[in-house]
Amino acid sequence: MIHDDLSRHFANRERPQLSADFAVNLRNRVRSPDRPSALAALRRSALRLYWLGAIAVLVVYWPDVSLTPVEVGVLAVSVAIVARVWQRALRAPPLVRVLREALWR
Amino acid sequence: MSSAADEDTDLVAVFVAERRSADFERLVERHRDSVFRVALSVLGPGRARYAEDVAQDVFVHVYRNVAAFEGRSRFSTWLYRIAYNRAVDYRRSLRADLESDAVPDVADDGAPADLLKSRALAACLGRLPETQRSVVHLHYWFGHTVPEIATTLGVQPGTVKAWLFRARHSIARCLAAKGVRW
Repeated sequence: MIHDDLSRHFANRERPQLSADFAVNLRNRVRSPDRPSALAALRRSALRLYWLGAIAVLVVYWPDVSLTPVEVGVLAVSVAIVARVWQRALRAPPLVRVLREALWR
Repeated sequence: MSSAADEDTDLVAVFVAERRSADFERLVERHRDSVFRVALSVLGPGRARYAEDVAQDVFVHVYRNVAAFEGRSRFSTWLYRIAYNRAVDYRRSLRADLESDAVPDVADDGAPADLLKSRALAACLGRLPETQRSVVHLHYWFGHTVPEIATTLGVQPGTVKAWLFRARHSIARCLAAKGVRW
């Protein structure tokens, strides 16, 4: 039975504990200035600016072009892809975040 | 509400009002192991360091945003939900690194056949949906009962039972597809 297989699989597996300096590290982090949040706000602002710019460009140029439904679709997909790439590029990966906080601590 | 939940509610109220570190540290002391286990149940074996990072993030978030806790649920339910969601985000951001799901962190002093079976089971566990994998880890790895898991994840015991049932079913099919017999 899978129940027994799982019990056997996990029976001898180590159950990790928090490290001894968890509380000390946490105390240091909560006492440090909230600089990561300022960066996050900057990232959010950049994204908002991007979208405002994109909408402004659309509003300015839209009356002068007549697009077929296919072209509208391609444009929408392109905008979505660019937005997604921007989002991923601006989001710091965990390793960068950990190193950044270690440097600022 | 239990007395433990009442004590949490009191501690949160005092901390929100007075921002005393001692009250926050008391909350951390009461819940840090559970938060760590919830994170580890999502991230999986061999990732204790990541789970500790998640636990730190969770408590920093709570320290800065505890006023957002509206008291509509137990504090612990709110806290563990944050831990679960953070761990899921972390796991997704580490997707490339999680190829090692297929490698169990068990001692390789057993028979090669046992090691292969363990690897197959670990690989099948890695393919489960997050909720199912998490309850399997909490139940079989950390030895939590169904009601304990339900309380931790803020769901009904029947839901946990259903997740466990589906997880076992999926694992059985996955192992059969790999041709593994126990």
